[in-house]
Amino acid sequence: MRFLLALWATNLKAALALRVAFVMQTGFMLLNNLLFFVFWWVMFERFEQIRGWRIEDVAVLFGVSAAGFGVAAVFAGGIPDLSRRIQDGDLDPMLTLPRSVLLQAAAARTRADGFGDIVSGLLLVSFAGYGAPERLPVVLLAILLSASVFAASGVLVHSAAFWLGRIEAIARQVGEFLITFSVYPPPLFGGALRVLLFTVIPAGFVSYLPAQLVREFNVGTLLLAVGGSVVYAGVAYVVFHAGLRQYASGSRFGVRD
Amino acid sequence: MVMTMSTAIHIENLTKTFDVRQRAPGLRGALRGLWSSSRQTITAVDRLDLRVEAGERVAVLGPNGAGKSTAIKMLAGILHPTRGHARVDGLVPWEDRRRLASRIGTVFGQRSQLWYHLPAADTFELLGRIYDVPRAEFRRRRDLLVEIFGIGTHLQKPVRQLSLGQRMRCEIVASLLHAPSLVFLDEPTIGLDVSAKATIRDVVRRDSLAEGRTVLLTSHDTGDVEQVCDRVIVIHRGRVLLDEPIDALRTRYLHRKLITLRTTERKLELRLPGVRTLSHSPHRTELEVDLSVTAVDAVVIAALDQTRLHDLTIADPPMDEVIQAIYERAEREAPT
Amino acid sequence: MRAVLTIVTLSARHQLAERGAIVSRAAFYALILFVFSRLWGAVLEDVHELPVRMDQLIWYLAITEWIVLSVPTLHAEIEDEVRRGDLVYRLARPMAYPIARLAEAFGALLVRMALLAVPGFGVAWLLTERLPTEPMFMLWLLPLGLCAGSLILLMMFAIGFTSLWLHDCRPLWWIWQKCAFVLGGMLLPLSLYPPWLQEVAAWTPFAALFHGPGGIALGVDSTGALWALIRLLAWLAVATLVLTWAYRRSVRHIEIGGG
Repeated sequence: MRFLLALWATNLKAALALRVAFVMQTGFMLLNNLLFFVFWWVMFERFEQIRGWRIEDVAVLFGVSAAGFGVAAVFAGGIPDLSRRIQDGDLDPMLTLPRSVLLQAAAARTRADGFGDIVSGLLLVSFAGYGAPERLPVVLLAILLSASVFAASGVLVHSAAFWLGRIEAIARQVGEFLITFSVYPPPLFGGALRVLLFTVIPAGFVSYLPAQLVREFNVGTLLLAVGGSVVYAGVAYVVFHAGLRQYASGSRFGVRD
Repeated sequence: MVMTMSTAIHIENLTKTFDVRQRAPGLRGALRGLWSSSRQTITAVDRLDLRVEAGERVAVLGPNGAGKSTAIKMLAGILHPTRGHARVDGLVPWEDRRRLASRIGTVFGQRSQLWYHLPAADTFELLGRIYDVPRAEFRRRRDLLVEIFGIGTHLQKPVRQLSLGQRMRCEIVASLLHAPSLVFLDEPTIGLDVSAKATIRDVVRRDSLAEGRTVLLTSHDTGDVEQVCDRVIVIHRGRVLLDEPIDALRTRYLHRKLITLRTTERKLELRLPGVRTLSHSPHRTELEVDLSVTAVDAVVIAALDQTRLHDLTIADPPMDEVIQAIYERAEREAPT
Repeated sequence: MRAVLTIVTLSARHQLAERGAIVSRAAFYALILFVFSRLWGAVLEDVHELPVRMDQLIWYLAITEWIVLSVPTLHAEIEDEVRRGDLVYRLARPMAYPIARLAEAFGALLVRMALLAVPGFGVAWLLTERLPTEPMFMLWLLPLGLCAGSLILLMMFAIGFTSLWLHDCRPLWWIWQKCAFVLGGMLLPLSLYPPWLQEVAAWTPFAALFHGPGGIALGVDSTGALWALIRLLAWLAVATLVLTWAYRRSVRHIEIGGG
């Protein structure tokens, strides 16, 4: 655990070393998210509610998933690089260190724009009326749950590189899908799609359930949300390590020496 | 002193074969490649047998594709073998990866362990935590290594501002912070200038002698081999082709010198035993001298008998030639 | 001029060969249309007096997304070149680089527009079971789409070029995209906006980029379509002038600064 803290601290230092870029990335991301919310504001100016959802509800949905995404980007910012690392053999140096390769790879860097996501997410959540200090623990829990599912699904998708080689473009596309789905109110989608949103593309666990937790805390939702996160993390862990065994057998596509 | 078992590396019958699958590019190719693909089995390491005692400094040589990187990756726990046994510092690398990782250090010349935008000191701190070295112990070792490798002034500068030589010294220090009993150095002096190379070779050797640290060095540079190591292993087609103390290597193979003479006379005719003329153009002659037959000074004296010299260059044959000579000779002497 | 044409054709052919990348774009395109069809369906449950029908909204989105998704990721390619250090060498001749790059991107744009129209408009047709206007009138989409696509290319070039100063131009691109959403009426037609915001948006190129061509779905007539085209051409002219000037200045600045 202390090793992770040290790794995160080093990451942060490295990100801050390029101060201007850091500030710009954070600022731009903040602006980016707020602009997107302006779109929703316009929508709700025109249509007061969408299947029972009001602007505050969308604000929480978007806020929690944005902050969750941001937390994942800050603390597990190495995941988008994972498939490339696998393909280029860059996991080797990590295998020579006495620590979990998954943790090393995930925390290999920090993405500065994640901070912009976190700030904008928190702003949106408080705009929606859930910014009171008593609510903070629940909000943080929701964000953490969202972040863990983001990270886990990222690991899952990128682990395909262990068997399929260059899948960077596909991984990015799947990530976009996930983010897209996580921003639109689930009541929009009917039965079959709902199932999809809680399994293959875990938008439900990334935004809907954590947001529900913030809006109306109850134990049932909590169990579902936590359960989902745990299952996703578990599957990601298993798949990654299966892939790592494959990696260590060396039979990657045309890669030797 | 580092306490180890007397045998640092013990390899028996180690074999590694790869299934290389060729597949079409793109997504369709990737998916199709899942069930149908043309397979090819390549044997990278073939029944390798080797023993290295603690405290030895061994050079592992071989052309690219010879299997030496593969072998070293197996010893470091990065790759799992197809067959065979190995023990590094008493542990089986692919079974005890994490425990072994605390006892070995690695320096890959082409890959950096140091964080690019931060000072090396920060990477050292992080490594201290990764290896779980007690704080006081860590500080002591770090200060000692910094002094030995002379990087005190470079510690607080971002790594990207360091020269290659300074960076390599930091890399090596990084690999030694946790007092490993064994160090793998892969091309540690690549791209460095002469004085940087000399410094690194010197400190690596002295550190190994002082701490009893086993060193496994891969390099294409003869200087690395000669000035750091006492023993040379040549790997070819996944097997050990040659395993000799460096003195033996010197006498058996590195006994040639290339002498280039720029003469005042147009032509130089030397008829000495063991001296072969490689090329001659007006006022310039290249000779290859077999030192076991004729000494360098004898050649020069004989030349001075015929002409005056503008310039004289005495060079070692390039390492590739030496290796090539070793291969040819060994393949002649011991057919596989 | 012939060199430019060659680049365009070569790039088009290259893009045809690399159809794979377009497949994932097409999937995303279909997804967005689907999501929004649900959104509009839900929205229109409660609101009955809208100046716009649901099928028009879907076709509107089909058109705007068609334009945006057909534009190749020029900004990312330029950022890559900057990262690799190639770019600074190619800047030696002030005009050749942008023209070559844009010609290349234009070739790709042509192919992508042709290919993406099929799944995009196909899915829109499946979802709405009708065309927004007469088939012949849809032909307005060709000049409108091409002009809009070209204007976006110019903007992408500018964004990519800024990576010489910023490390990562992606955040700028996202902001551009959000402006497209909000000021361009990319997702929601501007005609449904609060009037003051419609006024503000009309001053930006984004409105011309998306609400212009999108108007075809909303039942605009020939005069309207013509005006949309004129606005696009005007913005193209403005953009070309501004970017030429900015580019020349930047190149001089870089040369003085030593790259």
